[in-house]
Amino acid sequence: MDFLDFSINIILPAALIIFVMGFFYQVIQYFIIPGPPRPHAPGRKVPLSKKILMPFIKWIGTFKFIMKVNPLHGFMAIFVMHIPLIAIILLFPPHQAVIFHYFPFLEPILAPLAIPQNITDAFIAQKTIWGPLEIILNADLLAILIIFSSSTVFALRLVKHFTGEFKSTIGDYFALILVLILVIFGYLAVHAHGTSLYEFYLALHILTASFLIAYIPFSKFFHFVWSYWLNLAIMIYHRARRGA
Amino acid sequence: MAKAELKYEEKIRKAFIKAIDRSRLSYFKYCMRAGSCAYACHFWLVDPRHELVPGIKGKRVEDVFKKEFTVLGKIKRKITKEPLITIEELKKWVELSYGYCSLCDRCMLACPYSVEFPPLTLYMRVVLHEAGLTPDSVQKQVENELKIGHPYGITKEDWLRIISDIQSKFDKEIPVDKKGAKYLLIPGKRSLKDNLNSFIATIDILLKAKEDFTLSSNLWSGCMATYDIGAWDEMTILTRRRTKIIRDLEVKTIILTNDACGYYGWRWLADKAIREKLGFGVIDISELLAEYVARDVFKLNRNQNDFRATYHDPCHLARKGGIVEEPRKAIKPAVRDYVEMPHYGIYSICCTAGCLQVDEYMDTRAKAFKVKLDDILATNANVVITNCDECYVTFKRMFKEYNVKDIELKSITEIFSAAIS
Repeated sequence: MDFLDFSINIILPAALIIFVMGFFYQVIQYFIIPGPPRPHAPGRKVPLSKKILMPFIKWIGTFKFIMKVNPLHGFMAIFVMHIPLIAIILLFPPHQAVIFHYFPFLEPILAPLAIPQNITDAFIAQKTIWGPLEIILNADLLAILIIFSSSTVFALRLVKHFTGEFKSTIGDYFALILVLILVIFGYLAVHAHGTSLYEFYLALHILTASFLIAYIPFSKFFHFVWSYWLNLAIMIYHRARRGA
Repeated sequence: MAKAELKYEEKIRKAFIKAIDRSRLSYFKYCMRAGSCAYACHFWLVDPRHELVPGIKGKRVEDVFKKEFTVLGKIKRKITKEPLITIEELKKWVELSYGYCSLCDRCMLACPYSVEFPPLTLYMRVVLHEAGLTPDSVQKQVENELKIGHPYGITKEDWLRIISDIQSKFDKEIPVDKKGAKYLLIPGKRSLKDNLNSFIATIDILLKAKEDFTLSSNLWSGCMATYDIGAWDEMTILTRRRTKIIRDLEVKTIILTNDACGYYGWRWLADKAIREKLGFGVIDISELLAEYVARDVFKLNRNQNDFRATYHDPCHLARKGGIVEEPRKAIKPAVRDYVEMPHYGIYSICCTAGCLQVDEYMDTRAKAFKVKLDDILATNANVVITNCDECYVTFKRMFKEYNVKDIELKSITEIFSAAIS
């Protein structure tokens, strides 16, 4: 068994098993802790339309605030790091192949949204639904944006650390480095296609991704599978009751 | 470890467990340390230090949580034999939760992950209360509430005398202990001590509206500061005691006037504290005033309030209580010129009191007030209107501190009452 096979057939499934176990550990731990007392008073009368719009009101309000007070960090972290990261994970065809292998029900939803690998592919080889947006929505550019933004966020955290305003933990830096390494190996693998280094870079990319998958339930990455949505639901519930 | 120390630690442990609930757990456990909360905190804005970032304060609670609730934490604690929390750390909690946090909740609006930090400083306060480390000026309020019925020591005799003094200002009789009235009016906890005019104005409005209301000779404070102090057992006792008085009067709704923390407590916490339905409605006076405006009950004369005014949203009323539009509906037709502050509504900046004057930390709070003052000065308003006498007193104190002489303070009821006449 070579390095690539080992990564795909042993490490990746093992990482998924750790992820599932870790996920349930965290969720069970959450539900073991007693819940808050249930409210008996009715909420304020709020129009249904406002209740439905509440998540968007919350998002828009928070993002407007962040862009006002901390624009560089906010813009880099939200628009240049998170959004491209989500797009590349879910829409880049090689990633989709892995996702559909484990979650086949996602294929009809995600497959039509696939993005091209690079700008040349976009105009010459592939036809996607994105049209002129492919200038931005292509894996190469998204990867470069993620590398650029995670490096910038890393540097901004470092600057704040030295000014004493805000000291990030080792875990914060480690998470950014992990994303950075993962994307760099992925980028190198794609661009080494057809060369002797291709399998090596791909194996490293899969190894790093496997580590990240296993690490998710025990780190700040857990936010995108559980805690972000949980916190949002709790906040929207309280805000909808209060009506503001 | 000595026996006394063990007993003390067990007490702290129990307090910590009592304070933690699942909904809060998610908040500190999943903080991403993005740092956005810092920019929403008035204490950090004037003193940008790492330890003052709301999320970092929360991390201190998380460190204790890990020792008590996680497998790894428990093992580590057994091996190293370190205490759950040291007395030095508890003293730091006093400073951070009372000196550098007013539980205004603004940080959570800035959090991209919807993490709620103020309840974590509130947890600190719960533990501190159990540990007997609550600042004296604050602890005194709890004791006064339990013994006298008012956080600032206003006795029943004082209250009856105040009623009789107020009665002398009106031709119509002010109902006291009237059974089955539509409304029971409860004065703000600060009103009787520091701003009686706001309470008199409320009575004036209700009398002019020919409202079916009453005062209670047994209830002269709806204060819920015990919640923010972390004295949750005392809060339950007080809520039960007061709920009984209100139920005995068979009123339909209670009105909290110029008491943001009272409204927040009665509207959103009281039922949880006693774990049953209250059996009566809870409204803030601004809700009633907005209703009067909508129903055209009064002809309001703006010329009676011939100035440029701005409104300060008390945190416990707006951000925590959901009362944002009603005060504006009442104020706008009652003043000549109304202007919003740069940060208003749920984004309003705290007056730094957060329903409590903590005498031991007036210096840090005065420093943080600069953020609010800048907001006020940006409006060029001559009058700041508020709907909470705790905010009113804080503004008064801080204006003196900052030597602000050309801005007047008024309560929403004073403005409205003046516009009627």
